Amino acid sequence: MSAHTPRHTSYQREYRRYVLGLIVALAIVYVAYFSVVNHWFSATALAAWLLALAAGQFLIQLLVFLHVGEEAKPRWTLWSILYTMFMMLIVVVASLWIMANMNYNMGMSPEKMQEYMLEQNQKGF
Amino acid sequence: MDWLLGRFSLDYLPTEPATIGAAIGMPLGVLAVVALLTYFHKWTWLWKNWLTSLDAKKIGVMYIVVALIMLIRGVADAFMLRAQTATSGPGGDGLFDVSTFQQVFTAHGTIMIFFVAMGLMFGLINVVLPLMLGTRDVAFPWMNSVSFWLFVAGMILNNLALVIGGFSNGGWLGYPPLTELQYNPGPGVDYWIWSLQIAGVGSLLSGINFLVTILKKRAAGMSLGKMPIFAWSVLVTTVLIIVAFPILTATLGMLALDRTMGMHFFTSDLGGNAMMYVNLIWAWGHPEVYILVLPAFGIYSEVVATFSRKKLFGYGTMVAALIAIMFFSFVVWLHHFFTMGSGANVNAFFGIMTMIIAIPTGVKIFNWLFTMYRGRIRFTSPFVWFLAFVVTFTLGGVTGVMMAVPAVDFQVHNTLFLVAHFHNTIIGGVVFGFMAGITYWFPKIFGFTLNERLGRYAAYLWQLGFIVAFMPLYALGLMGAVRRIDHYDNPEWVPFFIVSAVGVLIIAAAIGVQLLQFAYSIYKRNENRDLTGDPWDGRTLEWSVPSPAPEYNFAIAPTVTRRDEWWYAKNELKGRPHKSEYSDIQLPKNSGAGFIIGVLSFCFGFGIIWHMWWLAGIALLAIVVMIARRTMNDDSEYTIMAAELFELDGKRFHTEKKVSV
Amino acid sequence: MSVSHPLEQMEKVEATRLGFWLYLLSDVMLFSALFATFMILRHNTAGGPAGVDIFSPPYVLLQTMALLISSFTAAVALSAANHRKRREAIRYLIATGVFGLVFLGMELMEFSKLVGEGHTWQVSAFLTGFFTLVGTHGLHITVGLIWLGTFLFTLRKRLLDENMIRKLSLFTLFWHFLDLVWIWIFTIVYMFGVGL
Repeated sequence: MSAHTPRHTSYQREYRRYVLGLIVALAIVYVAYFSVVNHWFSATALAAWLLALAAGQFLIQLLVFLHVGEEAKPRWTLWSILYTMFMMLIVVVASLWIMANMNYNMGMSPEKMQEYMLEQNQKGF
Repeated sequence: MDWLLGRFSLDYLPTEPATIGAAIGMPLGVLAVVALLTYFHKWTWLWKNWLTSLDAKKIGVMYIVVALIMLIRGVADAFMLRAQTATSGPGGDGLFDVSTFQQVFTAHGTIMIFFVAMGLMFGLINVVLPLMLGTRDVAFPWMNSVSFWLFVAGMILNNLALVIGGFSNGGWLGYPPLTELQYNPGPGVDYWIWSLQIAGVGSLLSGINFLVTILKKRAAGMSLGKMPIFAWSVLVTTVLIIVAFPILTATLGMLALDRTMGMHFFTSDLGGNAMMYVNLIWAWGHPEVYILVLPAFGIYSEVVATFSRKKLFGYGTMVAALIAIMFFSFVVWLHHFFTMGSGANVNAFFGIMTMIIAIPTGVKIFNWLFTMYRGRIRFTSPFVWFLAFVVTFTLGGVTGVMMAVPAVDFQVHNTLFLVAHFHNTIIGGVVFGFMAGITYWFPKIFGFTLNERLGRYAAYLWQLGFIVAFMPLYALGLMGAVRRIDHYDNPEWVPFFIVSAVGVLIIAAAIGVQLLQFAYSIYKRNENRDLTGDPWDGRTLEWSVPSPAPEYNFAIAPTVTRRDEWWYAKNELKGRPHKSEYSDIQLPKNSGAGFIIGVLSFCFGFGIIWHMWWLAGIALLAIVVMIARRTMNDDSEYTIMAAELFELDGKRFHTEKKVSV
Repeated sequence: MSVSHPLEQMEKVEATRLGFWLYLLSDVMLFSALFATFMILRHNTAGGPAGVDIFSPPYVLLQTMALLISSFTAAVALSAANHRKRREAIRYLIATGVFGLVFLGMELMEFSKLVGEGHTWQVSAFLTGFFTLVGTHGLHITVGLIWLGTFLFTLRKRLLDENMIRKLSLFTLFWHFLDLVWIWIFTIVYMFGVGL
């Protein structure tokens, strides 16, 4: 991607690389699309499947189009991508976990709260 | 005419005596400065030498000046708060009405964190980092200037609220639904949001700037492992800034969308979830406190090594501890809201993580103490600040670990115990560190040392003031006093509040001594000239250049072969370099664009706050144009020829004398 | 005399590139906060429509194809520029702009249709999250298209020199990054919205 990397690969080779990348990317999108529209999976399986497809697509784009991993050492951009992805996952996943718990404990209507308290009562709290 | 003035109206002028006083006093202060500048014909000098400078050292000094002015405002706010609580126990009436009190504690927190602490931090990094890394400036000097002026724009918006509109009453973090339209339709919360958003963009850009500087602009031979620990702490800090500040931008942005476009992120109706705000804001907020304290830790590393005349103990573990904090600071944030109801499992996880993160900090403290062991200690004022830090911060850290236990936290969350804890760590860690740093590096920038005795007195007074102001708060918190209360019924609390108010006065006195120190030192500067560039017998590269440091930092770019390069190199001095060793150097030309972008950003914020959409739109467009212009500017540097450098650099070889032990 | 110049130029280029990457990563974190918020609020429809009521899978599939193709053409444009094929580069840049405009146009049409039917961002937390997340992406696309426009404008008269190629490579970085974000919007907003 840098204007300073020597032109080892020819234009034709790069062109083919990108065409391949586009085809694979589009294929993944179609698979995801039909999985949803034609109801190929149950709910949790579908969620996992879609996320996996998105992750795969994400990697393809990173490697094929963004040339991640091809820079000279020290690979600061690679490490910073990895660190950021890691942090992003932590923030998103932890937030989902936290808020799911919060909503369960704190997000109830008065009627549901009453139900919950009765249930806790029966458990002996 | 509605579209022109939005909701701006003179009805928003203050009506309470305290706020009226501020609304008159502050503009008067500004006018006084303007008058002085005009009388002494200093506008051109100011513009050419400071406001348009792209020299990181100058930008750093400006940050520090602004931050110290804000410190005075912040302490004044603190005194108002404590004066209120000292006089509002049973039978007392206090001094201010509730609305004023709420604005004051909100302003106090906001100003101290965003404009004092962040300002001092960016200021010192600007001043020190390029010198310490053996380079001429930061990676992006123009962007550096923009960052500073964004900081100033945010600061001005924050203070303008006092003059018209009133400030937010929602605390320094502005939790909804209180800060939503339903409960706060006025401009106060918007002032808070936009002053932080604008300053926050500046911070993010600085984070990127400093990280690229460290990764790409170190002197030849300075591998990361040979970098001073201060530079390592800045590295980790900037990583935290880059990853955490966008969360703040997004969250404040969502709150702004709720308020300006009627959205429902955090509203109490139509599906909004205010708890999500708390979650997100603290996902930023916890890394933020590490962003504040890590550079201070870096300063201590330099100060302890220099004044123990011994290399820092455990360089490797210091780095490891910093990296550990870089990861762990992102998995503890829930400890700020254990009580919000996420349940035992979530609380347990974050509680354990919080306890773990205390360990790397502990490692650092022991390393500093081990550095002192068998060193030849000089009891200078930076070192006094360090000692004050060890005692104060350790206490604060320990109370933090106490609260890491959710069960304990349920008892003391949002009481004055918490307030005491975080002031303990911020004052002991961050403030004392930056005071040490300012004293330590002052001669490098200004060419003379600050008066030592007054410096030590200031440190002692700060330490005493801190104890008197905050120890009573620990007791009060354990007795059940919650934070942010403007009056209370329990007569047993009164003496504690009175003592605390006295403590704030002692801190004010300490600041007075510091101002005296500046004034006296300037008066006596000729007797305290730093003639060698190395007044403390330092270890790192910044001490190898003359004081005051020339604009170009190093006449000849240094080469580094080991840690503490200067400590060894100074004894291997080869005398004046030959003319052929100098090459032409390029420096950035001054640019007024940063200042203009600051003004435009202020206009943007002002426009949104007062619903003058046309103003906000035009300002935003103009900012984009200013930036685009810069990217097309190919003539942004000027050259200093080698021959001239040879002459300039030659002067110091006539005046330097060997440093005596 | 000035031996340091080429080295300093190279350093500046690398520094700018790294700086731009770091800005993009900070943008990733911004989007993460918006994504997390959307995911938590997406079921809060407050009596209004849910995803399945307002999203059209074929429509968003077309949109996605347009953006993916524009990402491809951008990559080819840069490759052409690196190989000094000025005409090819400009052609593919124009294609990038066209597909980008198609994407943006489709998005604006979707938004205005929703608003016209009364499904605005003021109706529920779900719609708030939707408009903000997708809208922020759309704003980035708009900025990118303006940036691309300035390139094409400058390239009419100027040579495709090292300087321009550098700036072009930063643009393509930005453009690919927007495509990456869209993948997640496509998945989590639209596919989840319709199927889960």
